[in-house]
Amino acid sequence: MADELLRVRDLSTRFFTEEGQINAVESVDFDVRDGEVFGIVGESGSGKSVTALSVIDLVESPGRITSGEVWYRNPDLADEVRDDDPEAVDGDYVDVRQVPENVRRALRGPSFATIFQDPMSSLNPSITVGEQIAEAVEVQRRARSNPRSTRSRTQGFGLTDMLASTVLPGHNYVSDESKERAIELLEQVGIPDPADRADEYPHQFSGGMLQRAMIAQALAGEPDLLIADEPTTALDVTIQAQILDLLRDLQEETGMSIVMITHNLGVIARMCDRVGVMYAGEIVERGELEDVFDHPVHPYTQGLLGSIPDLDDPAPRLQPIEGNVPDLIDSEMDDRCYFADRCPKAMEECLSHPPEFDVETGEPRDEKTAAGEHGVRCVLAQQEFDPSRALPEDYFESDARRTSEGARDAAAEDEEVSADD
Amino acid sequence: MFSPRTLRNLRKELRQSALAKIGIVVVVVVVLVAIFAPLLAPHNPTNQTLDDSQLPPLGFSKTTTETSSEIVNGSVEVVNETVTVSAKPKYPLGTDALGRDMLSRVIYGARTSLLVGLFGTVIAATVGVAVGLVAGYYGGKVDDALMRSADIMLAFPSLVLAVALVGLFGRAVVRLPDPLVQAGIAPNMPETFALPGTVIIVVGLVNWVWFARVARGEALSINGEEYVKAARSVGADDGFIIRKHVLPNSVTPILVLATIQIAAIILLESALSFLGFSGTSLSWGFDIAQGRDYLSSSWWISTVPGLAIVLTVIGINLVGDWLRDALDPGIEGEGGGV
Amino acid sequence: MTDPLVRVEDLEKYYYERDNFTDRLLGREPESVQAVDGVSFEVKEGETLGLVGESGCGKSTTGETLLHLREPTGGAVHFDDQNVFEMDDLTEFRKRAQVVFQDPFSSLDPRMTAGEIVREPLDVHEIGTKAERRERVAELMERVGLSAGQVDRYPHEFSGGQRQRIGIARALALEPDFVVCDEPVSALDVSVQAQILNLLEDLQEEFGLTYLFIAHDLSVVRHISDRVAVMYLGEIVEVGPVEEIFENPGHPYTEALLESVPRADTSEHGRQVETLSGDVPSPRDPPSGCRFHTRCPYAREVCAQEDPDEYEVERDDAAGHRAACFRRVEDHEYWSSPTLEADQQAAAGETTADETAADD
Repeated sequence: MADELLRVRDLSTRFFTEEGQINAVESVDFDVRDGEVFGIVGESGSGKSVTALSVIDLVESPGRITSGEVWYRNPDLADEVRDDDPEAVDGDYVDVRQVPENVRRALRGPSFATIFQDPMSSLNPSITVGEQIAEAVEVQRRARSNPRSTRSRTQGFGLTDMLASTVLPGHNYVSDESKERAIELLEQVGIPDPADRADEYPHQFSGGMLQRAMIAQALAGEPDLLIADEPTTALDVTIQAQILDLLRDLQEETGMSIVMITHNLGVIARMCDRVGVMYAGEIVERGELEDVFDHPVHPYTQGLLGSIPDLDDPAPRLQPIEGNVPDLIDSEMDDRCYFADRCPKAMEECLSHPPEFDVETGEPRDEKTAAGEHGVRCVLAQQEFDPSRALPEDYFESDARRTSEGARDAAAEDEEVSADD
Repeated sequence: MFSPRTLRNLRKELRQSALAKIGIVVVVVVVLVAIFAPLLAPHNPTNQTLDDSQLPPLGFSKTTTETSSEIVNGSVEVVNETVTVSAKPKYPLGTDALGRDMLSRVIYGARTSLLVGLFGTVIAATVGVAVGLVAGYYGGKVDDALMRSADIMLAFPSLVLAVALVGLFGRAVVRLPDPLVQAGIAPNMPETFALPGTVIIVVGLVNWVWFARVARGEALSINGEEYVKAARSVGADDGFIIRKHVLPNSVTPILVLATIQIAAIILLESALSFLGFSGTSLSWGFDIAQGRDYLSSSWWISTVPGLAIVLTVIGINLVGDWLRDALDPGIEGEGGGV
Repeated sequence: MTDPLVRVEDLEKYYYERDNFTDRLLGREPESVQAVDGVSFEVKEGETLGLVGESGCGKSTTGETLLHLREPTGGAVHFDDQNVFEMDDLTEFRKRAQVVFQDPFSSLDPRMTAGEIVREPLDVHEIGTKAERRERVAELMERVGLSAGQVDRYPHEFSGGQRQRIGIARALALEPDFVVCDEPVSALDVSVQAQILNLLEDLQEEFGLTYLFIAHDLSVVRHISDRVAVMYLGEIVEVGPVEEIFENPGHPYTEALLESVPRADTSEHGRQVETLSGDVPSPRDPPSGCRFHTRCPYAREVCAQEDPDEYEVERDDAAGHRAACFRRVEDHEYWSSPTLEADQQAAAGETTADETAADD
């Protein structure tokens, strides 16, 4: 399957905190194909944003990527890396996790670009929007002229230039060319009067305009993959609709792939070709949009879809998922299905951690075997719900209370250990 | 007042920071010394022994030239004799110009410094927090009026202001009977202890502005919190809200500021004493001033109380840093970055 | 038809910027922000009125001002036929009208336990003995789905949904008749959001509560409301029964809102959305005439000059469905007015204030 731009395998990210080790992302696999929009949907704390950050290696302390491979298809890069790190190359694919730090960093921009939820805090308030985008253009231009060297990326951004630009506010460290390109980009993302708006500061932009500027900045490197982390969550619905339209138009124009991370099922439905549903750090269900939305197998996916009031056909009563999102502290996670404690269909089988099943065949999925699109991490893919094997309703209540108390003490003791990690 | 979580933060921060440990040890030692001064001081700090004046601390000696005149063969001859004065174990830190034991004076001086620091801070905090909370809570014109006057206070250097106020009020001293001496445990010590009343009030009045500013900022931000709106929506009046919500939630920064202010007030008290505005003669600042004339010959008269001030102020500041580090994230931080 | 419990008439809340000491010293004119500009509506006993709009449209300010948590700059609010702004003693009103806030973090005092928070209204009004209060708190906690054993925990030990339950228990403590729910679920995850919505519905049925439900999420509003009012830039542009508003919107803004919401349904995929152009204008300097004309796809010149009244939306069963749009009037001069050019539209957003003055 050569049309996969990105193959993520067994990616795990943990946070080492005082309360204990938190498995934010646990052994996540997914592919992103050429020119598609892949959606990751989940509630807060499900690990969807950390997954995105892990792919582009921007996880911050106390978080650390503890395992995983991120195979990125780029023949040029593969040729360059092959001599130094033959391990990291497989055909046209390069495992981004295995290449040196500076090469990996050089990929951000020309290969992977990101837009975040809050555009205001992603832009420097004291530099004009145009200049910040021009800066990104400049960096990418220099990177392209000499891709392997990190030195070139920082040329002209040395200490002297920093001092000069501090002393002389008007000091330009971008060329006219990149400035022109910046204005082009602003026009491309639908900002009216781009030449004038380029000279304005971020606080003069509205939220929607800022998000457009962020997208322009992300496009500066002509990325293969755009990771959009809750790009419209902070925006009003009318503005959200504009931004979603824009993203789709840009994708059609440039042919890039988009990973769309959001908690909003409506955004997923409008934008995505394939979806992964995350819960407690795992992808619990994945497949084509129709598979997941019309024929969900996992009770969590069903619950999520039942939780949102339908705008066109309001049900008299919502069917929420009982309970709360688990806090993913390692010591509190038993080796069971992580959703079992909230699941209305929990059975005895759920007390051992389920593998991912192929929905069509009902067989556990294997890395090697090519399977159908629709996969789910739930035993219900293999067997029908059997009420005689159902867990008693208060099974986890007594259990959970006990473990959480025990875990708190354990966490206190573990404190020193985890601090060293 | 503290939640278990806060206590946990305090313990954790203490475990991680060696400086905090040092600070706590220093402060505890100084407090104990101040409380048990009559028992610890080897001599009465006010007893003068002119024969033993200007004795150096143990391990040091002093050479002076003594000039005597003798009549030799009918003419007066001036003889310059070099005399070495060595320390006496009776006075481990030496004596001052009037032969008073420096160690005892430093021990008693801790009382003055700490009491002035504590009471001064209490006065400053009471006035400042009251003004600040009212200004921040009500805002508008009340805020304008109160904080502008606070700004005017700040425009004067605190020492100048303090000197002016002492000049205005005179130097009142409260003589407190010393319970340890009264109980007959320490018979040779002074029976009363002179608390410089004016100085306490003055340092309080000079420093309230800092508390007012911090309290105002806190009140301003807490006033915007929804739980204050919620309290108002159930019909709570302003007094209730300030007492139940605004004050408890601004305690942490005020507490941190208070520790720093104790140190600042101790320094201010020393400065006032140094300038002779204190009213008590048992004060580190007073001793430094006294020793100024003898700096060339008997350096310890100024240096010993000077070191005491430095040590105490550093100790208190370290405790303040510890509180700040431990309490600051205690309210906001939820830990775990997922 | 039941009587309105709350009647809001021409409610106005302006904020003044540049109005402090220094500004007056420099002789700067205070600048007004028209957060709520003449809003009128009724909430009938036992119903839920949804108040919906985008951020900055003044919906939360409306909620807080009608509870007299903010000082109004004009208008009146009648609660049980008494003007709230003219009451000498608010005690009785404070007992009968409550609010549930959006932010489950900032709405609970971090230094009080859950029990103390729920007990606060009882303390304020000195209701019952200590033992009775304790019992009432336990009862409230259980009613909202928490256990009475959690009274001694601090807010940070609860999840977002549980905190919101504490806030609801506090609002119920005084057995109110009227509750303003100010975006009570928008900070919550969808699965928890559904729990809270169900809880609010159950409580309404059990205690006969009247809700003003403020939200920006249209699907939530549709789910919970009996009637809906749509706000844009400090004004109500459309009000009516929920079915009417959603099935037969009478104002182009409502239409656009409904069009913009992404549905969680596969038919949503690739749907071409007629998006509104541009941004919401600033309430510091709202457009002349109809405030929506700068973004309206149907705007004509008359829209930039005249402020539309609320007109009945014509339909047989459309009881009380009104929209502030000339298009609802068959023989209005709108229909003969020339269309507004796109650049005119954009410019109008910036130069409005003077034009209005001239036209008046």
